[in-house]
Amino acid sequence: MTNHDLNYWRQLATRYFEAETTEEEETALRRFAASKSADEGFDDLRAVMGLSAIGRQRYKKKRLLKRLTATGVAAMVAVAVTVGWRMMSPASGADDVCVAYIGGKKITNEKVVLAQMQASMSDFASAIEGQTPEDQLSDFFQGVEDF
Amino acid sequence: MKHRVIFLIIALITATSAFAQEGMAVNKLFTSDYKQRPSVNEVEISGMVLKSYGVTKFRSITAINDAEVADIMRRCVAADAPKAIGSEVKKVGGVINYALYTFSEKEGKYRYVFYRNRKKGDGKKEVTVLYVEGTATLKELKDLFKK
Repeated sequence: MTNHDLNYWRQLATRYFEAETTEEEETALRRFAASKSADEGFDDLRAVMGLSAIGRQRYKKKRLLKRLTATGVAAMVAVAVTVGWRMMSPASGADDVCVAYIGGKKITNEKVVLAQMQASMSDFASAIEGQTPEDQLSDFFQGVEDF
Repeated sequence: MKHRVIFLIIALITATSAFAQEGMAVNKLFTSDYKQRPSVNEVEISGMVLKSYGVTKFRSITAINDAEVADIMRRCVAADAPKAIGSEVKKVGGVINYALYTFSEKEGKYRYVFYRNRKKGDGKKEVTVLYVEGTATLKELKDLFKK
């Protein structure tokens, strides 16, 4: 490179330290500082540009992290709302249970299980309204024994 | 760290959306292995299948000639009874023949515990506990299950 060019780069470096360079000029200056044409007079520039390159990377990482964190929080809120809504919703398919155990044997036939429920509830409804004939006889002649 | 926070949120929602049944002593009857005994019958129904009954959850357990389980059932009901806001109890010879307990509304649902202790015509001693949860009032349940 010619001295003229070096003077140009020195002036550009001075403007860089005064924060007066554009992004394009900065990029060009960095490229020059990394080249063999930049003599020891540009050592300070190389040192600062090396640090600012690291700082730029860190800034990019921080920005990415901020974006990820915001995204993460939004995702968590979405998950929380979805799970909460699902759990509060009445009778979703996943909550359906219909099973009976009769004499230790598992029964999943819906009709049979529902019949068991209806029989139990009818029995209680009768007991509350006025005992069934079977209960009355049982009470009068056999009594209710404490276990 | 992010994953831990997500799991924590889900766990918190799960805990706060727990069934209204929890916190009741009778819950112990339905979360044990009594159903495996040949002397115990158990029914568990929840979800859409109960929609027409105005019920969201129905659980029953009946001990037949099983003094051990019958005693546990009686104790569980006795533990919950003081929390009831309404009750109908019938005794024969100083022993509860049947009892109906109504509990305070929780998460928009009424909760009932029915208890029955009797000796049937064939000589078998039967103790039954029902737990019913739903939007139906007691009168509606009685009308629905009356024969």
